[in-house]
Amino acid sequence: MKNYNLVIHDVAEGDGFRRAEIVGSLDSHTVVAFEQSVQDLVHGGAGTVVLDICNLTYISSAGISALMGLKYKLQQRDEELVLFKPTEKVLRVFKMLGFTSIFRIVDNESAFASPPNR
Amino acid sequence: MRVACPWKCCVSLEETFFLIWIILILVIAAAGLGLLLAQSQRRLRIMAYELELRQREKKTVFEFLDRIGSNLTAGADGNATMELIVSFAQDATKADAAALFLVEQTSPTLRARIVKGLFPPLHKLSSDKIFAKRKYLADLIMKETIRLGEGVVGKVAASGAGLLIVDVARDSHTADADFGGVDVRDMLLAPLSVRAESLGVLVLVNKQGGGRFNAVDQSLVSAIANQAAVTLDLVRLWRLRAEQQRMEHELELARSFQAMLLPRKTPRFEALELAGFYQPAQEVGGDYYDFIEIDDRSLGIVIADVSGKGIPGALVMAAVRATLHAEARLSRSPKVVLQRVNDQAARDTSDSVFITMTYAVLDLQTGIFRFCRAGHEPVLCCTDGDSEVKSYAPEGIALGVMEGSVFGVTQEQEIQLARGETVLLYTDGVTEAVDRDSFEYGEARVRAGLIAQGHLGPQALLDSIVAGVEKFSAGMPQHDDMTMVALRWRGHPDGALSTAEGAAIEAGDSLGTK
Repeated sequence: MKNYNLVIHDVAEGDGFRRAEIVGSLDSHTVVAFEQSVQDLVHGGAGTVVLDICNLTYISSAGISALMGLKYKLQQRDEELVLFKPTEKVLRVFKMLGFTSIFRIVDNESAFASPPNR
Repeated sequence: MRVACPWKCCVSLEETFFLIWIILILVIAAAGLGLLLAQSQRRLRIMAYELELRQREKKTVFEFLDRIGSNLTAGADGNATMELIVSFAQDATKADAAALFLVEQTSPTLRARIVKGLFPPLHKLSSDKIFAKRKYLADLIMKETIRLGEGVVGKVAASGAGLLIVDVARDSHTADADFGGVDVRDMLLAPLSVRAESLGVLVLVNKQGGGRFNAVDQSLVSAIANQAAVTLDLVRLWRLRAEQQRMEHELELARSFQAMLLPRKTPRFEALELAGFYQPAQEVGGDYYDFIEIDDRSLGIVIADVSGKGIPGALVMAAVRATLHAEARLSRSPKVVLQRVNDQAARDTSDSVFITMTYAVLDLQTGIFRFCRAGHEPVLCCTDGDSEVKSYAPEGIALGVMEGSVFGVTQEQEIQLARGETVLLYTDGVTEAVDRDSFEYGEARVRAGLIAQGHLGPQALLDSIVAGVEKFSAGMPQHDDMTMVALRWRGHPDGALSTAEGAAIEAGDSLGTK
């Protein structure tokens, strides 16, 4: 079921990384809000930006484009985007597009530096 | 008692007193009447003055409306309208300098849009240079922003109440202001507001000839400001409408442009039945399908979806289509063709744009269907009488993301089509169509449709899937383009290639109507 809402909030910030959670649906309706919300993630100088997507229920091609844009913006600053715990449905989209080799997708917290205190 | 009166007549003392009383009363009555007359005359004078004032105001407003009206019929130009407002107010009040401040669209700040005469800076400037030339001063004032509530202009905008400052040195609003070295004596400020929304402030400075602004000027400027607010609001709405029309026009352009990319005719073959379907969404996406007749024996079949929408999406697709058509003739290998299309697309498109595509080359003699899936939805196949659909999703990565070796993971797959086997290609606009409760149509329904309707032929199959999606979504707006291609292998009666059937049919027949 699609949910045309998107909530982004900072979950934790640690040494060399920043973690934010996306809840809801990332599609052409929410992509502008998403891009505005992640502005400060790009300018935060975090080193690694971890996007917790375990509660991301749907992602469209516009949503993937936005993630790709974020990834390249971070890359230009020598920073990395990590996608954390996608649902099976969202992971299927990444697999279908062949993007599991382009995005760093991890399933456990030890995969990125300095595990946060939740 | 009798006394002698001066006229030698005989009048009693009582009578004399009575007479004096009468005279006194008459005198008082006359004085009262005179006073009353004088008062009513004064009232008449005031009424005449007010009448003249109203008439002058009316005349000014009518003149103003007339000028604004002819200005608007010449086209809703915001700047010309603002110019007119300021010069009109300046003329009507005989002010040395005037300016119009408008509230910015993006933030609660005011900025001077029109400045006429030697207009003083009304708040502390961020630069402390002294500007001798009025042009530089005007430029500077127009660059500066004033917060709502800040300074006299900010206060008038925030409160919506005008100000008449007869002597700036004595008025509490301006006593501390230095006006950047400009000599200021008196000021008049009127708010521009519509529907309780503050649009800006009209400011007049220094009455010409050393006089001072008065209540008449204030009432005039307030009348002009009221009309100006309504007019600017109208111009704003006008522009909004023009912008909407422009966007609709762009959308229309994108639609017709995209339609140009689609095949004008569906080719016909003895061994094969073919059909394509394309229905754009409200906000045009970047779907595309095509049939490329490579040579007598090979038919290229393509379906694609670009991640961008509107004109940019259609332009990306046009570029991809051009490369694909050129490369398809140079190689019979879908992988080689897509590798080249990918390299070109990766160079041409921005980092975040990608294209999913399935490209197949069908051997019209043998029925061998070779294809690559560049991140696109799976290829579905079903032979008449089968109760299951075969789904093919070989490894593959979307186009335009990375040049070169990354694309190496993409695999080419070969299917030997059986007689009566139907191949269905689709974009996610079909499977992701939603119903009232936001549930998706889904791949399962598409598969079921293929099993049930495949034997009826590609055109009937596509029609039934479209009808199914429309019934499912029951009037919900279509969010994404819907595109499908279906082919059914008939094979050759004796294994030999027959001559192609007559003229091609119009692809337009299969295009959905909105």
